[in-house]
Amino acid sequence: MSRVTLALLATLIVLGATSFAAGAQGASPVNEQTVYDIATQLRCVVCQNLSVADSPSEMASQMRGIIRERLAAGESPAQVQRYFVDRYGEWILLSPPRRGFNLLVWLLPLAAVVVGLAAAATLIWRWSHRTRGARPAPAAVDAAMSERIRRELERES
Amino acid sequence: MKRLWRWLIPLAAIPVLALLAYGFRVSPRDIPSPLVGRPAPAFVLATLEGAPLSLESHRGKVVVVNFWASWCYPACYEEAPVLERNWRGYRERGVVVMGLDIQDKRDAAQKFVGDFGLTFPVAQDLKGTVSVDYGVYGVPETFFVDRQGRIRVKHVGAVTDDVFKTTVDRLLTEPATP
Amino acid sequence: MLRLWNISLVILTFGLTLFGTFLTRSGVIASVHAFTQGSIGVLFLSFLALALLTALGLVAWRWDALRSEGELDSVVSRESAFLLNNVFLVAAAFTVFFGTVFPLLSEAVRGVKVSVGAPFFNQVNIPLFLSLVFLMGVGPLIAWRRASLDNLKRNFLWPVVLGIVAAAVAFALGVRSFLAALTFATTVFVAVTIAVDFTRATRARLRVGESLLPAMGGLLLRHNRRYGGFVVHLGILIIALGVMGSHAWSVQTETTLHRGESAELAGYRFRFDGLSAVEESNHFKVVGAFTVSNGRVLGVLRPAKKFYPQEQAPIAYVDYRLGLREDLYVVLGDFARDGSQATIKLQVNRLVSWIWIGGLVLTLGALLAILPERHKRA
Repeated sequence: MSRVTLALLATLIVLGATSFAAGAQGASPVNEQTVYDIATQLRCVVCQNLSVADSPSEMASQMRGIIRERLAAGESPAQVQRYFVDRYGEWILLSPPRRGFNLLVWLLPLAAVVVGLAAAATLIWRWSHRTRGARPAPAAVDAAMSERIRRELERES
Repeated sequence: MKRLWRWLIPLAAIPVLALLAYGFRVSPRDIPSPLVGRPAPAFVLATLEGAPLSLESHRGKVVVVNFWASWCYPACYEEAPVLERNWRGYRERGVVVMGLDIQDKRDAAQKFVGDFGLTFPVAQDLKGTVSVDYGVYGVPETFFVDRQGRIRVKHVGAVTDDVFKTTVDRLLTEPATP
Repeated sequence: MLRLWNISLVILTFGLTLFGTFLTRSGVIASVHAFTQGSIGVLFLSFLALALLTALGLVAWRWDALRSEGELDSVVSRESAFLLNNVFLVAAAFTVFFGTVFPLLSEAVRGVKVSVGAPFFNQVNIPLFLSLVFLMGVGPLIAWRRASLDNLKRNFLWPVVLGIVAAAVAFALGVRSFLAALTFATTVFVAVTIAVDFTRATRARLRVGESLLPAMGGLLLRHNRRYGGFVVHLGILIIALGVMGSHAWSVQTETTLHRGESAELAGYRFRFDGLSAVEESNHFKVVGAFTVSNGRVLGVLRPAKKFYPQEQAPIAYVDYRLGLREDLYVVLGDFARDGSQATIKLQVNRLVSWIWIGGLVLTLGALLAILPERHKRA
């Protein structure tokens, strides 16, 4: 993030001078990137599955304002998130918290990969070893014939 | 016996289909509120006339906090006369009705109040802090707060006479102090 | 061989397309794509049930006829590479499917509503797709039976070394995200495997007496299926870098400006010049003018907001400036009636053009690959 710091400092100065929606509390300057990061994790309550960061609705704009205010008052991102969960329930988080039943949605994909790899490995093993046993003894091939075949192949490739 | 295992494949589709069918019985927009049973968040706003409006000042009464907007048609338009009617009927019995207008313009709000002849205190929640504090996700939403300041019922959608009367009557029978 | 697997995938694909349509039409799950809620949902679910149960039932009934004696000459073979590829793709599809129905499942089992959105899908799918990219480097060697142990060192020494170097360079340049560094390492690894193969084949031709350009051209045309495939892989690598750049390095901000004031983001300066209002035939349009500069003036962006009398909320029209390294977006939010101030959302999205370029390369590679095979001359 160090590359963006300079640009953000300039933005903060502009923000500090012109904030008219937030009614700046003045406790600490708010990092817009942090507001955005928190907003991407919250679900816009009036839209269909959009994040508060992406939603164009007025409700989302007000929610971003509230995030900004709380950060300015000194709350940590985790505390801001907890505030919203307190009011709306787990539903407002766009990513289900990794606890209890929700672990199912986090772990099943991993399990799918593991099971898939195991199944693929078993199948490959079984198929490659099936032929080993059943392969018939190679028919005796004429030496001259095999030499001709070899030369033809070399010419082709 | 080994032959029967292959039938697991079509059978496996059935629980998935059943789950989708279950989806018809629930609405994804119906979110239960975690605030029911907890103390109602305090707020201080100014009514459209400029008078202060705070929840705390009405502790001991049954408070009906109604979130609305002038653009919320038809639900808010249906419930406005219901609220006004019941406000007039219950105000002497220790019940307060408050209208909190969200995401609206002042003149639109005043027109709404004027059109319906609303006499209960109406304030605008300009920054949305109160509506988020109450976990509001749409309008209209109505919160019934008991005498001890706890949210007891959250009603999503237009309030009817029936809902108002049954809830408020029940809450009025409860004591103001625990 | 693999007929059972093939037919199952075909049935699954059809079932999932029906499922997708069902989702958008039934209102069962809230999604950005859902646009209506009607009785057609029941019809769709019934059809989905009918199609799935019949098709899968047929598979179970005809199992013996479909199943074939699978035979591979070797553990390393084209079929193994194909199977590995399938594992990751199907796992990704399963992840998206399960994530989509999980809110419903959670409500049915626990009675608690949860949301599963973009952050979840990004977190789980990115490692899966990175594994696929990695497989792109290893797969061709498996498919062409050249993955024996001694060949391993010859084929992978340079790619692995340069992949690690790439991650180190990224770290030195300030990249701190683990996934971004991993993406760098993987894409360089795969790119070097392709380069190694191409240089070796070219060198073999040079040794036989051909000069450089005809040797390279000849390789591409003679073995167009193989090298067309490699070009497709290169296209995918470029897309992967584009996705990583836009995901990890894009920045945005929201700010309110008075007329004449500027906001800065990622080295770009956006000056608010003013608002203008236009009355159109069926709507009222407000346009903001923003001069963009990064040392020198680049142009004027004009995001707009259209107010339709029937709609409660205005519709915002973003204005943008596309570039090779980054795209600039300006969205007009709230504004004062007299045009003295405006709230805007600014976005600088990095490397998005690479996604399109990668797509172009991919198409060219595909075209090269499907050219009719030149009749091999002596």
